Amino acid sequence: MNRKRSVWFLTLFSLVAVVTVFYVSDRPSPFDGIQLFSDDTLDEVGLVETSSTNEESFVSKSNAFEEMRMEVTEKRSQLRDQLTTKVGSNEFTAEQKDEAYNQIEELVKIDSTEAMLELIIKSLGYDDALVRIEESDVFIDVVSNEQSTKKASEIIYQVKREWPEAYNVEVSFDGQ
Amino acid sequence: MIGILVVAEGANDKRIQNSLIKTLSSVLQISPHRIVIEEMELEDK
Repeated sequence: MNRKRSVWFLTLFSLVAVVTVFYVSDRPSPFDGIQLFSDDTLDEVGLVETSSTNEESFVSKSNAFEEMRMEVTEKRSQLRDQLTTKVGSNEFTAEQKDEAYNQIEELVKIDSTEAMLELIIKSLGYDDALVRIEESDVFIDVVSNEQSTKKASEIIYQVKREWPEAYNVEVSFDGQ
Repeated sequence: MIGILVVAEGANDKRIQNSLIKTLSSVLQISPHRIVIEEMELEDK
């Protein structure tokens, strides 16, 4: 009976001792729950904007590209229509018809090369690209945050490989 | 056939317009500049 009591006493005494030491040492707790939810922390923590705004501007950029593409398609399809009627009519000489026919062929070639180049540039890791070929000039717009001469020359190299008649290649990077 | 007018709900998106024009011009054998796409405006908006 006496031993049992002394065990209890020892247990309680050691518990009190531990708690006392804990309080006396008085070190700041590593986790302060109340401090975490006070207004001060709200001021300290800056809100970081997510990438949603970026996405929106990419969509608008892409939409602008699409609009330009439509404009070019419309212009070319009108031209092709005119050339086709020229080839079909009787009012023109054989040479003129031949020339018109060659022009149509050229248009088809330019169209497919542009589409091909857009695919190639996209495969280099860009979100969207717009390629316009006007005779020996090639204009390229690319959606990209960073711009460097190295990246530009990489694109120009691919363009010259695909379209050897390219004399003047211009690359512009449109940031988001 | 002279031309086609398409009124579509989602046509404010240029990419949808473009794909519609491409599809229609190939399927109906008509030049792309003869196809007009307009956005359908919903009344209960």
